[in-house]
Amino acid sequence: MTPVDYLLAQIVNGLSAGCIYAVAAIGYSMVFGVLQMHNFAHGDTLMFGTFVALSLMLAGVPVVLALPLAIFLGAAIGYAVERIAFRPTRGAHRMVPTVSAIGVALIIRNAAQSLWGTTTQAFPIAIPASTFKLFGIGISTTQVAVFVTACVLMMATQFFVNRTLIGKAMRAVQQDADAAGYMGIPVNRVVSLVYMIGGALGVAAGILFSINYNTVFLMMGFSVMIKAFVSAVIGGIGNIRGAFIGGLLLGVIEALTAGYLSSGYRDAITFVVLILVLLVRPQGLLGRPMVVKV
Amino acid sequence: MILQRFNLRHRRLGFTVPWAGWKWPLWPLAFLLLIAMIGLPAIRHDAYLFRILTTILIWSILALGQNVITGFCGQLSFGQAAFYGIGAYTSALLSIHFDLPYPLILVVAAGLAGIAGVIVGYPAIRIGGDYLFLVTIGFAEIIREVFLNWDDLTGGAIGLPGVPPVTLFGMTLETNVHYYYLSLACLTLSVIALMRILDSDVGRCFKAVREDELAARAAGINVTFYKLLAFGIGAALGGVAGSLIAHFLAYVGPDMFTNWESTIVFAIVLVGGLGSVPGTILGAVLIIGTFESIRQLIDYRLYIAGLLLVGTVLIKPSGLLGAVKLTMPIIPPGAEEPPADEEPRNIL
Repeated sequence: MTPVDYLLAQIVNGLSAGCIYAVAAIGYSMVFGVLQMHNFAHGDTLMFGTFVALSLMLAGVPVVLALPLAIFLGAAIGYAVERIAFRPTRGAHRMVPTVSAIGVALIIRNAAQSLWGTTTQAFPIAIPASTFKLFGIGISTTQVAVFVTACVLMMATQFFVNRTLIGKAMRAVQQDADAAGYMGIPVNRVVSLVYMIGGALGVAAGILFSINYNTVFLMMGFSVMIKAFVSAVIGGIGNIRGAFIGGLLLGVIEALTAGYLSSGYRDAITFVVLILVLLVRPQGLLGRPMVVKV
Repeated sequence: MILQRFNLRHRRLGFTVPWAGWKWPLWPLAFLLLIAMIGLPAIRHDAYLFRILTTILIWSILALGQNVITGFCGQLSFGQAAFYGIGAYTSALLSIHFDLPYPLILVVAAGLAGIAGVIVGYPAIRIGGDYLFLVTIGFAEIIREVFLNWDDLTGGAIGLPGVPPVTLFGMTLETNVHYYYLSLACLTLSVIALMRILDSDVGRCFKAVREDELAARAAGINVTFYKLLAFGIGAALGGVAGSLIAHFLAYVGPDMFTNWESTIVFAIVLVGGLGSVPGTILGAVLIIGTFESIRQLIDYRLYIAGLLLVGTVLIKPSGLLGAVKLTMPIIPPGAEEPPADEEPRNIL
């Protein structure tokens, strides 16, 4: 394998991991966009939904039914998180919803631990894992399927937010929740809907993650959420396209680190990148600077 | 210049009685509690009990550090496990490789952790609130990966077994009761020092930074300096706790300093009371006491921590004995609205 091929292979690996972060980051970023609140239960919602998908499939439910069911459950958890952790604390100090979200996340994680234990399990979806050669590097069909699904999800979300009436309501709530309420937009329902979409996208990302790495484990929620968070910040938080680009970038950076430096320090590099981005360009690549006014 | 100003401003430190600034029923209560805790080993000889109590004391110190950063100065940090780990590894390595007196080791461990705290706190100057939260999580992960991967120094995943026991004034500390006394002494000193700091100008500046950073800056308070100071003090306390746990368990390993430890410390501070020293200790007693004394609960720890966090936040957001008012929104509605002449933010 020539050095160029090695580099290309690492980039391909990075893109397939990165598009998973991207899907999780879109959900995360949308939820942040609507109320400017970080949803720290995103990761555990994602993990729980993926475990449900696993159980459904092990119980013999066909894949075409099991995955939508799990994603639907992700939406339901997203709704519950909003009702329990965010709605009662709206208008309070920013630390309050952050903490209640962490609390809900811990409860979800414990529920998953009681139901499925702490062992790592294999994910029973087998896309026939044939590899084909493109420009001299092997690409597996799994990677292609994951990448295509992620792109479709991104475009669907983008379409929904920019081209539909509900999407317009979401953008209105994001710009000014009070004014949107005066205009007759049902703010609470819109916020709930955004959290549901966020949960559903999270579970979709979790399933993609499990298909790509053939593994489901308890702490995957935390690690994917952190990656989603970092991707969203790199791209400009609250921005769907930015989150997608950020996710892809992060995936590639990570793969290159693992390929050329050391796989042990992969997560460390993620955070070094994050800290640099925050120090140099806090609003992210596509974000606009935030101005604090008195 | 800075030092001189610092000295002038804090001249009052040390000139008044140690319990100045404590509310009336509190200091006699604290004093009685301290006497009772000193006398306890004379009555009970249960090694297990003292193991639990020592753990609670160590976690109280750790949580006090978190409270300095989050409760007193209002910085949302979530990486206390990193400072805890730095203190523990420093202390373990120093006592394994060098023959130094323990107070020196303790000071070096606290100092290194404090320096790490200032380094992490530096982004706090530019990055506010939620991002700081992420940066501190990230820093804790980086530190944990360093512990895990720097095999030559830290022993990698195996950690460092056989940390030698503390030798203090020619006496080797061996039993749980010995470490109970050591931890009690450290906690008492930390509490007195913190109460004194809180009652000084530094404490009031912390409060000003916490309540309204812009107003504090406008009033001439060096916000940067006080944020870094809070991180330094908080991290140093974490380092002290780390040093104690390393010698108490005679072992350090990367599994002891994970995100879970940061979560627990955060929960202690939140449940006990943001910005409250007695509250922090109460939180540690409640949470660590429950976890350590009822071993059957090990599968339900996350439920307990989660329910405590949600419950506290919904019922009394600043915690049981909290001194911080958390009901005011930091960013008033509409503050982030773009100016009228710009096109509206269309970022979703």
